[in-house]
Amino acid sequence: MGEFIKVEGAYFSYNNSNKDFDINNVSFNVLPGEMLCIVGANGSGKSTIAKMLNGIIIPSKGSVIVDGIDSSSADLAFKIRQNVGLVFQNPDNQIVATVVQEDVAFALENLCVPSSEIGSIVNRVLNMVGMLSYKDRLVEGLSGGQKSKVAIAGVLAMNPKCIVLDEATAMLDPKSSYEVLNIVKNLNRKSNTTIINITHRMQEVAMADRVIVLNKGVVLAQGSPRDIFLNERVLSEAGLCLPQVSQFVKLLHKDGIVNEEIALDVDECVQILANLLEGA
Amino acid sequence: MVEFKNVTYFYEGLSSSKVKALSNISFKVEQGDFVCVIGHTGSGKTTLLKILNGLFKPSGGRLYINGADVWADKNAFSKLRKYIGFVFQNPSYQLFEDTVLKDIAFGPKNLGLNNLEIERRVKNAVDVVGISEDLLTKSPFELSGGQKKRVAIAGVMAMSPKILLLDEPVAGLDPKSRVHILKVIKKYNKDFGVTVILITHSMEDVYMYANKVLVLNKGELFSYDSVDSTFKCVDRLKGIGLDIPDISKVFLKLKNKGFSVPINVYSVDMAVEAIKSILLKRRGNG
Amino acid sequence: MVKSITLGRYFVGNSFLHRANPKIKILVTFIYVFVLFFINKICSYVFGFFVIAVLYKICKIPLKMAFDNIKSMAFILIFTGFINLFFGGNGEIIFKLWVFKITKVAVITTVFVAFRMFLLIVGMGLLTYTTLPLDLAKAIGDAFTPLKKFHFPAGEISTMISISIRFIPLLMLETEKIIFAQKSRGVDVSGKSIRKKVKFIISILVPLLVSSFKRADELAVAMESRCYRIGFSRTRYIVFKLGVKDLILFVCAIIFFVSLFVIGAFSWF
Repeated sequence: MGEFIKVEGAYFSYNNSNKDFDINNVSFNVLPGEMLCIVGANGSGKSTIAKMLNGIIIPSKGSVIVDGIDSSSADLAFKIRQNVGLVFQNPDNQIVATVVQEDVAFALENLCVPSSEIGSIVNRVLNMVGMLSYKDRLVEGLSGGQKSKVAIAGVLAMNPKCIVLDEATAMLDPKSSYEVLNIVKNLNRKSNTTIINITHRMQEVAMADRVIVLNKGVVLAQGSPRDIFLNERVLSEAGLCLPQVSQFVKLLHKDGIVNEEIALDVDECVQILANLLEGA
Repeated sequence: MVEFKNVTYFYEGLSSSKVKALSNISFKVEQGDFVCVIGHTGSGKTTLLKILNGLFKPSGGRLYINGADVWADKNAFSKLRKYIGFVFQNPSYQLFEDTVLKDIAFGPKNLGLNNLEIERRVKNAVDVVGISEDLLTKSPFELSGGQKKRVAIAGVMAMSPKILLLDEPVAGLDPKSRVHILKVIKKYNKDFGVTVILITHSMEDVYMYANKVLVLNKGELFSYDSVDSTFKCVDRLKGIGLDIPDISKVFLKLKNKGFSVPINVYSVDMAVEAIKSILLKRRGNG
Repeated sequence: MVKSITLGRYFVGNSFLHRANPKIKILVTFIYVFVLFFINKICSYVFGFFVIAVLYKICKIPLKMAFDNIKSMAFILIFTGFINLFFGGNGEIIFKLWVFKITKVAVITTVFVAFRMFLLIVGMGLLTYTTLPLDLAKAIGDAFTPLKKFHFPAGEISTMISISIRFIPLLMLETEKIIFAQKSRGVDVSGKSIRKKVKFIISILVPLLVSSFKRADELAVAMESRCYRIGFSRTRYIVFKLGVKDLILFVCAIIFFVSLFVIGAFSWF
């Protein structure tokens, strides 16, 4: 199976002075149906990459090819945006309409879907994010988590092959971010939607199939969450902190108590400890 | 110090109905405490801080600062702003001057201090927060999110408050900036004896930095206790749907599987200790 | 403060006027205003008021609300009345004091203008009380649609209106937060000197502008990434469709307007 997105030798700079590139020779692939995480500190170029992936930003050098379409071909940019949906950190700045269902319909209106067909799509995607009963509500009265779900529904309405979350959970409380991540995970599993989650929460990194670590506009490392979690050099250079359970198992391993080098999540950690306590 | 006595707060909802945001809250904060306020979104955390800062007037009950009833004693109220500093969640809501230095000096200037004192306080705040020299002449709007946050905090610290209130000071920041800012706040609390009251969603922040935890649930005071006692009953916190540290989850799950492990474990160090002592005991027995 | 503005003057209800197409309601109101200018018989005014009062009753809106409206506009009404009375016409003088003189014509016009203004406010109230501000704005936006033929950006304007409605309450909330933040930094809100006042306003305006620009920027990216393109045609999800009921409403309104004229023609005052 070929790659879905191919970023090759991409450069980009917000200032026209060509000295400091905000994105400096970045190359990576995204496979169809995978769950990819991009991590890095503030200012590492994560958001710029997100905008490159759906053709909002065109690299000044190098190329971004989405589903066989080069993002620099202006007349096909429309097609790319439909295929790669972007969800941002602040839902308030991406919800256009005052009523929930009208916002979800926004992209469909832009795609010139006939009025009579919009309703059923709106219902379907609102149902997918569990917000169908809020269809007629004003956006203003919703909580942050609910707004995020509406924003996701608005992107889902385009029926994209890939969804990019640009720190979409950063400002949410734990419960809401858990719900949002669950929605995304389900999409990945059930509809085989490619997910690119840009985040600096390491618990979310642990869920991914693959991780790309960005640092100052450069790809510092790529690999499975396990590889990245075990790579001390990459972690300290990118300023990342391991989740509690990973630190815990790592420490136990260092003291020679367990054989496993790392645990990615709570369940894995429980399993390791259960084995240890049963065996002893 | 600070005392809430039976504080209730209503706000006006749709079509002028009254909505209860806080009901019958009573607690005391001693000078030098580091209090973390936790609770769901909408549990009244921010409202609590706004009442503390005199931005909202309690609908019922009293707020005492140093023994003086703030809303009955005009003198006490006028001192309130000098006494309590508030760092809001979004730093962009307070930065407006053309240089970082001027912005930090804005608060102390409003207090009517002389230039020498203002300069001293600004310098002190800059040192405490760790803002590098070259940033001081920059416009606050050119800074990154983490830097803006630091400037906002310095701006409030420069007013030399006795109590510092912070509404989710590290939400949305990357791990490095998070740790930096939390350490700064902790150091400020320790070195200057300033009381800190901080809203957070991260339980890991709570046990790393706080000495007391105030838990709000649907506008009611769920508990107000030391970190240790609060986390001793993680299952109760879980009961009201709060997120608990991952380590606590691990030990709760082990317990549920029938292992005899302690459940009041919440930090990595404690967890390692706990496992080691279990193994040691078994070896001793075997 | 914020909430009262969002709700506008809308009065929750489910009467036939609440459910009617906002476009028709605007059109009828427009004709009504026009008709009022050609009516000059007290009988017509009384009849007009009677019909409107019945409509208020049907929509379950207390008439008191309409009178409250008039109260808030009392100054303008009295002022125009005064001007009309003293400078409003020539002819038979019935009262004279120094340069002030009141003519019979002026008295009559003043009374008519007062009636007209009163009916205008009460009638317009019916529109705003029964229509959500949002629907009102959308209908106004739609009103530009025929101008598309002349390359008028009608679609863009209606998107603009809808975005403004979405963001006004957000910006109000933001202003409130900024004021709180600056108050906590010791800004003297009740500062007496002009310098302090200016400083206070700047400390609120600058963060508000910066944040609005940031919002606008993010919103533009978000809209683009949801395939919005300026100058391209779009479909509409929710279209105000004209139903039979709306047609009946329109016909009834026309009958009402005609009867105002008829009553006027057959009465002496």
